[in-house]
Amino acid sequence: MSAGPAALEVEGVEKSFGRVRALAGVDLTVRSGEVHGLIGENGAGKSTLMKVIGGVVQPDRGSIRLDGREIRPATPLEASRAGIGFVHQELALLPQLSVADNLFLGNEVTKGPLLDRRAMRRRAAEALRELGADVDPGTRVAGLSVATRQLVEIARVLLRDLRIVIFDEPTAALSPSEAEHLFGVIRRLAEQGRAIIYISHRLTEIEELAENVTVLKDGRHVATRPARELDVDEMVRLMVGRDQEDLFPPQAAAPASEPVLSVRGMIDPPRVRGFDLELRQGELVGLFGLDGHGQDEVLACLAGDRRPVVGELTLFGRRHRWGDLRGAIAAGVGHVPEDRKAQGLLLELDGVQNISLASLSKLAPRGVVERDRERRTAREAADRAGVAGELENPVGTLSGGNQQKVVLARWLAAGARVLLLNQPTRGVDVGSKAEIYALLRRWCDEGGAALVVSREILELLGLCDRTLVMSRGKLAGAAPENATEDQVLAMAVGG
Amino acid sequence: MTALRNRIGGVVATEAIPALILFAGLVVVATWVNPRFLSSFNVSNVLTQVTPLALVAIGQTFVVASRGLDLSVGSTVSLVAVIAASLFSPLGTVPALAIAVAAGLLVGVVNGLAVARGLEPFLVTLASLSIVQGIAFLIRETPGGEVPDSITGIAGYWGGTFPRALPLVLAVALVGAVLLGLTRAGRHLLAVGGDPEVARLTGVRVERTLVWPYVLSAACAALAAIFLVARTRTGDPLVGESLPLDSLTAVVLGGTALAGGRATILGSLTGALALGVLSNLLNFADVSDYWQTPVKGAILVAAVLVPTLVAAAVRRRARARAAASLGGSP
Repeated sequence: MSAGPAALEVEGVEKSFGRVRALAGVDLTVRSGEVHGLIGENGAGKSTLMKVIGGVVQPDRGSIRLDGREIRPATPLEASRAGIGFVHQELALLPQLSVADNLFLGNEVTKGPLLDRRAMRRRAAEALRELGADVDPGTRVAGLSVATRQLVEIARVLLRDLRIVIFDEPTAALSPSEAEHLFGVIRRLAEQGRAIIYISHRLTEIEELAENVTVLKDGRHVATRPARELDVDEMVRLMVGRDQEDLFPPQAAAPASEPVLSVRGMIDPPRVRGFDLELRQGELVGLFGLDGHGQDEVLACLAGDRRPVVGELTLFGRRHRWGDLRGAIAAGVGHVPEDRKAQGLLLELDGVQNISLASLSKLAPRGVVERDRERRTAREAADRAGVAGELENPVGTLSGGNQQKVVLARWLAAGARVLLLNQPTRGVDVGSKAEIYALLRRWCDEGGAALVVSREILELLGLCDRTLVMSRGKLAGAAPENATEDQVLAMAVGG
Repeated sequence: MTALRNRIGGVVATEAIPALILFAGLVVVATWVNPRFLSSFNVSNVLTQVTPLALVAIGQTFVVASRGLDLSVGSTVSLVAVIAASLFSPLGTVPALAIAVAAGLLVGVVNGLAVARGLEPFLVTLASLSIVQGIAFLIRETPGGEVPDSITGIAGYWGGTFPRALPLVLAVALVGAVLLGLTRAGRHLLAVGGDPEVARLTGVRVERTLVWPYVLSAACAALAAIFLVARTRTGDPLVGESLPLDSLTAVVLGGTALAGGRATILGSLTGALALGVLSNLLNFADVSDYWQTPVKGAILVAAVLVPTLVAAAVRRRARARAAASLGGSP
């Protein structure tokens, strides 16, 4: 455990986007040779803080010092020149270029006017070998696994000789053995004197890897403690600001009703290799899988947004065609997609128009929208969903939590009875989270049903009546009563 | 094999293969319809016809690779042509050429700066298309001007059949291919075209990278204009009219992705040649101009659609096989 000098000091950083205050005065000190865990709920400001350090956005106030010198990186290029690098959550690689080309992008080696491809290949191969990545620098990135792509991104760190390396949710798509390998790599990077910032939702990883942990909540610095003084429960309490149990509404008694949605023998290669489900009225069911293990595709297929190759879909007792989005909506299925801004909302339109979108056939029986009725319906649904904020303004101006409630209000207005939700609380503050959980529970108590896909195991275990776990495209089973995060992860990894 | 592919991969992209197949197919059909298609007279005729399009398509490739498109190439060609033809006799050959080319480059610089500022390439180049066309008309309402023999020689032949402009086109193509595949600027261009956000995050200067493709496109248009002035011996304010769409057709036929990030100069050259062979073939078969345009359109759609459909069918087949194997052992 080396406690080197402070490599990176962030002090009093503030940043607002419009009226949303993403960072309200955050401090962070990372020493060289240290792995520093950064935790916080979705929307706590972790990503914004990292973007400030990485030169992607500029802070409104506050200072950043690197080895004691103040820096103000205005672009990612400047941050990189100063010695700060990212290993991105959504990997920043160009699939159609080769590994070596990606590694040296923006940092090419040239011989006269031409690229020195041979030198770049050689140095790329060296860096990849050092990381234990078995990949030819000449291959295109498109065909590589997520774990390999990640090592390619890390190789970029070695090649640019960066001092500060930020890892943002690097294990979300990795198997435990791949994650173990990655931890080894990260420890080695730290031992060589780099300062590592490690962001993860998986608190057990933070426990294992980090020396110190900083907790953010609602854009504020909550605490910085040595990791050995914290356990997972304590971390959760600091992140949420209350006990985990207070966040979730009580679970319902096991329903004995008819299935409203059932799937049999669904196969959607390559990701989904066999899936069955019976979702009953009143039931709130969770679905967990490691990234890329098929849970996203299952949800998209059920919503009619994808078409599996084989399988049977029954909605409210009637056989249903696959890939029939409009039919699914007409039957009463509402889809809350993962990417709210790209798939869920029309950001330029106002709240009323966004809510009425799935009910237009009702609101415009003769093709012309009855504006008064539209406004009334939207207002009513928005009230039930608890939308706070002006419905007359473009929804892009609302906070993440209110935007998500607008999407939910859309399905309330349309009279949907089954909700399919992917990461419904992504980018949502804690308060709105609790309200969305309560809304979903109410939805089910009032005769609806919901299937929730989430990356956050604790959310699923706390919210849902039962949590199903997928592993490598197949249903691995249901999490046992009072399961822990580790148990669910072990199921998701499979044998 | 991989080593060989790596070696040539920077210059010859696999994306150009469908265009090469299309070109070969058209040549076979043309030879079958017209036994004298491959005569040296006809071949040199096709090459001469296709020279301006090939030049403009090479420049257009860079713009498309950056996720843009340049609609102003045609009026730039016309502008350079009328300026040159009007100034040859008052100023002399070299000053006239210099002024005309400079005017063309200026169009490219303005386009590039506007796009780098964040304006839509479609809007920017649509606006410059009409502005530049207007200026060309102001300079010369009808074809005219005097063209000295030193210039007309450019469009001539060695030994009666070998086009003198051919080495020029090949040299421009070679420089283009090297620039695109083997230089830092070319790599940055492909990165910005492929994903501007990823490019920015890895430290590529996106704005700067967006300027030079338009300048290069204008430079190629200027070369094409000089060739056209030489061949037609006049400065025609509408000489470039068909080039914007024809060059985009050639680029897309060649396998450069309209979405950016994937580009091949060889493909664009082949695409331009394929269009030239097609015109030659249709002219020989005495198909009217009114029919030629829809035939070109149909070939473009087919050339883009067929590979897509084939790929979709292959994917569907693979998915069905995978599903069957899983269903067999549940």
